[in-house]
Amino acid sequence: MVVIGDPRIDQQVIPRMQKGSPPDLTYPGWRFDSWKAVQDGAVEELSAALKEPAYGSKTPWGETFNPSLLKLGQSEGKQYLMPYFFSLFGWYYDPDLFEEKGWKVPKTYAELLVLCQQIKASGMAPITYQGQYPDYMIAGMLQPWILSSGGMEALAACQNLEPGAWQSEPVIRAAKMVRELRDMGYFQSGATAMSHTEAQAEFINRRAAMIPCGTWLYSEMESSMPEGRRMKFMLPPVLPDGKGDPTALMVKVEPWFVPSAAKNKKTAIDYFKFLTSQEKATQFVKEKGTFMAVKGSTPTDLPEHLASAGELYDASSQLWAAQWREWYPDFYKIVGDIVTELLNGELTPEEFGAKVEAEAEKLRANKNVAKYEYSAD
Amino acid sequence: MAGQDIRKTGFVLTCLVPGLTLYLWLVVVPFIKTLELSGYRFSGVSTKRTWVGFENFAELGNREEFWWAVRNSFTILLVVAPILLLMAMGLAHLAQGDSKGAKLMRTIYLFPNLISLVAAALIWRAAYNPSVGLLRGIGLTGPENGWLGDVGTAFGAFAVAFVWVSLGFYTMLYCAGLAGIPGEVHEACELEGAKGWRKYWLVTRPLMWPVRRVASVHVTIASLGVFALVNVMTEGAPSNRTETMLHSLYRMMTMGVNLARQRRWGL
Repeated sequence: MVVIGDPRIDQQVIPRMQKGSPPDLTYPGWRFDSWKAVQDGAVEELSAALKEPAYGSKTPWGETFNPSLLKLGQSEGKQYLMPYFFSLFGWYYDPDLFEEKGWKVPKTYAELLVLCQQIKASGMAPITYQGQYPDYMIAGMLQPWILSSGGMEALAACQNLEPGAWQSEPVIRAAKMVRELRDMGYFQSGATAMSHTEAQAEFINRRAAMIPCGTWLYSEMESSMPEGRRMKFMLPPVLPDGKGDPTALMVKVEPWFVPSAAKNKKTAIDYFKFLTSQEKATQFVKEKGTFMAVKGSTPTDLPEHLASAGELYDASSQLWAAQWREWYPDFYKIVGDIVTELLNGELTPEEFGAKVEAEAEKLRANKNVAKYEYSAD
Repeated sequence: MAGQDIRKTGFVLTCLVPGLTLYLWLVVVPFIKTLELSGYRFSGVSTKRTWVGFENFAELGNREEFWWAVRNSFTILLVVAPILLLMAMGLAHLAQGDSKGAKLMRTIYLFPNLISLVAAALIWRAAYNPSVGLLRGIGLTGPENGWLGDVGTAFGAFAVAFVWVSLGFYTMLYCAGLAGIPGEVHEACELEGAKGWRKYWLVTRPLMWPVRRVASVHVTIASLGVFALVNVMTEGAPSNRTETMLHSLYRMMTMGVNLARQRRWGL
């Protein structure tokens, strides 16, 4: 068996997929459009394999995964893409700073507004964000607040491009919240111009008190972290009067799959069973400092920045994902551009909704783009 | 005579064969293949291709990003590049002669050309940083959304960096051109009484034509080919305001967008 690893493995996988001589098993990374491959019939269906016993156990393989994560690789009830490790997305804060200043981690949006006022009065920017990549604000503010306001149905409707969904009351409310934080001056000045690392540097150097990010934040910034700096994960503050589950938590998965043109599918599946065995998964979490989609693979002695996210993961009764990001990458990029306009104060929440809805309508009308369906848990 | 001609033509043709073969193989054939591929819907992640004719053109035209990229690239070519060349010409005149000041100026203006484009882009990104940037440090705080974050200023801020990295090269080109004008011409001018602007318009400028022509061709290629600076400085943000044609092509290619549509772009 040959194992090839490369940070830009997509550049090797893509030509092989095009030629029809793909690897037997692949984890092509986030740049690879896995759903397009599924649509083209280039990805093997694994539903049958999931019923087989897992490596070194009698439990069916499919039951060893967290069902919410496994579901993310399904289309019309069939399993194509497999989860492996995953990230959680939320906000980060510095517990030492919060303690020193007597600030409390806000659970609700109202508490957030009060806290932002206090932080701003102390001369610090309450929230910074990775403005160059609107993805972070879609994941950390817009979507959680659509969900919080209108419940999972509202967010699912947006992901499913239901007519009017992007102009619905929950979306407008979420946009209003973003706009309000901006208009109150609670976002760091100039954050729209910042790259992810620039904004994250503002956070770790205590020029901003909170930042939306995924659980990779610590390892991404570790080399430039001031001595002894701590960070903890928190949920985006919610609306207590909203329909959403206040424990809802966003997960991000980068899928593995077996190409349909693979020559040794059986071996590939067996090998992936081995990689996702209890023992291997636990080892991976320890070595790489990230969570695994395999049930019971999270050790108890995680570092604080991960443990704080792990606790919320264990306590969450609703895991959700932004699947439209993978399904409709063009549309997602356009929505990002529109979010930037909202953050820059060029659009009112209503204009924001109308503009996104118009783009959603274009996508609905485009017969060339395969449509998928997000199902709420 | 006729025999010699044939032999000569034969010799020339023989000499052309390797070059023509390479050209056909590496330029013409890929171009035709690209043209063909642009008529397909092709995800680029499997072997599946569907013939769609001109549909990819239409889809590209529907995207705001495409029009921003075209608009920005042509603004660079038609507005920024002429300003750049005018500045270079002015500086070249100032940096003429053998005085220490002139030599120092020539060195300074060439400096941005000595560092890599990526480093220059990073320098400018750092300078524009809305929290800790140099510009903020000298009181140019810029708009609330940051120089590179505000849709009103992002392109201008980017254009300044483009001029900064390009200016030295064209200044040097013009310096060389100016130095190449024989001294006698200048002396003759002075004897005839032509000075200042008059001398520039009637003598220097026409004599500089070959150099200006080279500069124009070069700046056209450079303007339409802006890539590294965008890729490192902004990646087209905010909302496509700094997108350029080449960068947009690259972005679509790496972000998992219909591969055939990029072929359209490429053409």
